[in-house]
Amino acid sequence: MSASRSPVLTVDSVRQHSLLFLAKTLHTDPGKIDADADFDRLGLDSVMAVALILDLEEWSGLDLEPSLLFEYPTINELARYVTASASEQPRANVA
Amino acid sequence: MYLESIDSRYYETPDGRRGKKAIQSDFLRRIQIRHFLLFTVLPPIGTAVAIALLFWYPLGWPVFAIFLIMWSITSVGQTLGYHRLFAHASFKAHPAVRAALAIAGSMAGLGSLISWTAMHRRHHECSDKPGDMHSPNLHGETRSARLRGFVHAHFTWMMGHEYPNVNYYTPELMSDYRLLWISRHYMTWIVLGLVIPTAAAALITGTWIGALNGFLWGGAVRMFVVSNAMWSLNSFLHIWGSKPYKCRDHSGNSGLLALFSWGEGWHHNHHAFPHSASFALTWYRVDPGYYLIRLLQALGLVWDVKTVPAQRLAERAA
Repeated sequence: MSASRSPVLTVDSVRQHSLLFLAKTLHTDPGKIDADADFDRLGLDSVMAVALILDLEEWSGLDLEPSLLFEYPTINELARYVTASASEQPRANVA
Repeated sequence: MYLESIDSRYYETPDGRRGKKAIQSDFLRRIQIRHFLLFTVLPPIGTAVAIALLFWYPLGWPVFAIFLIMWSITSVGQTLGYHRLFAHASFKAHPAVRAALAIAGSMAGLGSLISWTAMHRRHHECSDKPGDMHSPNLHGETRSARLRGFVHAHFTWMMGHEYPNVNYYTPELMSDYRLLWISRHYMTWIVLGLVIPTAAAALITGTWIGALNGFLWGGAVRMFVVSNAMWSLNSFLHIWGSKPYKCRDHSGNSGLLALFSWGEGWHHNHHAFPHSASFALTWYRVDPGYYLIRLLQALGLVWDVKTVPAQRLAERAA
């Protein structure tokens, strides 16, 4: 399997991936996005929130609930949750 | 959109990842029910009130004209914008025209630009097969099952349905900052679509009842009429209607509905040739939406208008 197919999930790698997705979607620089700011404040609506979760699912191979962004409303909180849940469920993209 | 797909549930990326094409969740269902109550249930109630008020306050030409203008703006936003331009890229348009059509289409209250486009592309991909969220043909063959299918396809599907993955179905819209901004402000455009007819009627008539009638006819009745025309494509025209071309689903044509939907009634033609800007395909079928595209093309505001050569039509004749 290629390395890209099964990324190593750490708080840092999930944070980086989420920042890149949001930067691309919000047309801004990843460095300008505050990983501790609420998703609401960053300008995310429900469509973008679900899009971020689905993108993280495809990338990580994990099953993630669309409502996660409301339970973990910042990039850092989300990254910590995703990393923790990686140890508790099988990942679809890991051979 | 990735070319390689496993089935209607999953897609595979070039580097071997697997993603979901659509999802269901309680969180999304709550949003869908709220949208259903606001924009599916309330407009018919407003329409009933508007008709009842006619017994005391005659409609008058100004309010009727406002209704017609708002009906035209939002119908055009739907068929030219959401449908022919954004979902099927059947022509190219100046950025200002793209923005205007996206906003006008949003005012119809049928979903935000990105959600609607993603759902529509999935509808074409799975048409009348599992995964098609509003097919009338997946409920069984008995009379009651077919009735249930019709009601589902017309409007009850909106109470809770699979939500398509917008990263997969609409990547180009997700990376278009202007369109994403318009899509994110969906509710603003709906409110604007209610405020404009109310304010216009208030200014013209100078009365409170005029303003109320402007709101009801330019807002509620207009939303009721436009949405029912669009929903009829999913219900009536996936059961009945003529089918002049070879096509793998149950879509049908209705020239009558085309008159009231700016050409959308040529639904079978559209399913047979989804990338054609003309839904009529031939000169003798009436397609007001296509005439407007040609007018905008003559003005230099749209270009690269896609049509289907006569020979291709002949090859696909049923």
